[in-house]
Amino acid sequence: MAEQKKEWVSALADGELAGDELKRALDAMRQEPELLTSWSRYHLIRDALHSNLEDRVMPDLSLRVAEALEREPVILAPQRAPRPWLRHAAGLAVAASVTGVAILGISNLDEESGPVSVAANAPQEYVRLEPQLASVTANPQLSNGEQLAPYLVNHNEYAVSSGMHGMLPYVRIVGHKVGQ
Amino acid sequence: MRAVRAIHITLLFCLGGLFSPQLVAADDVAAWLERMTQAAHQLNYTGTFVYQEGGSLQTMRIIHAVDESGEHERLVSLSGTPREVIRDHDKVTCILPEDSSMVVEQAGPPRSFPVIQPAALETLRQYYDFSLQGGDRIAGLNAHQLSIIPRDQYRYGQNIWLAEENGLLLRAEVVNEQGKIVEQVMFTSLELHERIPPAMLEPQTENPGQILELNRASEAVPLADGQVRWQVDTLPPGFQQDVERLHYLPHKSKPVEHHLYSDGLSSVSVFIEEGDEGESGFVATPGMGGINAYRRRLDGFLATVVGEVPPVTVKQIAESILPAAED
Repeated sequence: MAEQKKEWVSALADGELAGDELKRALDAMRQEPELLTSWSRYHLIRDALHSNLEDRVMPDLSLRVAEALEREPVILAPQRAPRPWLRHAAGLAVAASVTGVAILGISNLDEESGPVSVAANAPQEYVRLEPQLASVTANPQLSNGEQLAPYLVNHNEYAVSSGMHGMLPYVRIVGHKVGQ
Repeated sequence: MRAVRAIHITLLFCLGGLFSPQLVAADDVAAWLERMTQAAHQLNYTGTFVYQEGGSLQTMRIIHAVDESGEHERLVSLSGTPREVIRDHDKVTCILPEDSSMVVEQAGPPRSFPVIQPAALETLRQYYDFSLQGGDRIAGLNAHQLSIIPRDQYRYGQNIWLAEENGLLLRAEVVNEQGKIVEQVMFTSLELHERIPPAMLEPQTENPGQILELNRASEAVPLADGQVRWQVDTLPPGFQQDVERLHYLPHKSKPVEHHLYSDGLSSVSVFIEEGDEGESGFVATPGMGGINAYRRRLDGFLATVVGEVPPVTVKQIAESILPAAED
């Protein structure tokens, strides 16, 4: 059954599903977070095979899929996809091993890619800052980095100014998402 | 007592000059650190540098000016989305347009330049090993490399390259506990100026979207007795409290308790606010290189610990937050 579901996801990634099959595959992915990992992997492998990874790689693909699925009208009782961070860590690891792309070559890593490298070194659980804690602008797109910025500004203003930590403390704020 | 100690150390350096080449080198380190700090705050300069962390590489421009009213600094991204940060003597403005959010913050109280004095360096040497590594050339300028290696796992190391001519920081690397470079900056061009035209310090990012002016954020709340509700029980070795204050963060209706701890080189902030949303754990700090953050729920409060230190340090500090002892 699990293999069959992976085949659905594979077919979905190849754009071969429609109608009831499509719905069945999407429902399966909604209920089984690990299928989202497979989904990412299939896309990465396919892109790697087609040598267009540099333009196409999206390490947070599974997260976006998870979010898209959550926005879908609920039909059954869907399971929330737990810890999307870990999943795209897996996705990126695959990307790296399959393609051997030099990490600097991935020019379009976006803000979601940050914890990946850390998570790959030492498995840690990351939490998302709740948007409502940090923002009255109700902008759901605020990233963690953005929500951390007010804390960081305050930290920088009071922290010791020495070396890199001191001379260019705002580099991290200006830099944290520029590549998007 | 302090003066006596300073004299003592000066004597040590003098004697060292006669007997021990190592202590002469130590004196040089102090001189370089002092020049670095003075140059960073006192010179008018414009420069372009690259910032690399993780998989991203960005180019930024810095404009730094000093006049009668104090320091002014403008930092602009040259690659990717336009962003900039402008710092004046009284406020910091972050323009981050694609998020439609603009953080306006009062700067901290005016601080004298935190020059690392020889006496402070002696304390720092308990936690870091400082050594001069010889010459190099960066942005067309002769530079000297200084390496700062931590003696335990609670802080990051740094390699810094300082301009021979004036001590300006030309290149810096932050090195983690595994010896890997977490982030680095390097100037590709740097120019000194007699005077910087004010226009160069004006924001030029177009369409900043929704602008958030936060007057309340500008007001620090006077700290009254008994208002400090929290303390950190077990600080990593060498860290001491520098600042303790209440103030408003943008978007927050209640003041946040802010404690700053530092070992003289690395610092960590603890912010504690009311609220119980969210989970405990590491907060992702994407693209922020050496910054780590840990959030912890505390019975109706939330603690956010953030600093340019290894994950173990923010976690340990977060986990040893306790209600302040009643006096």
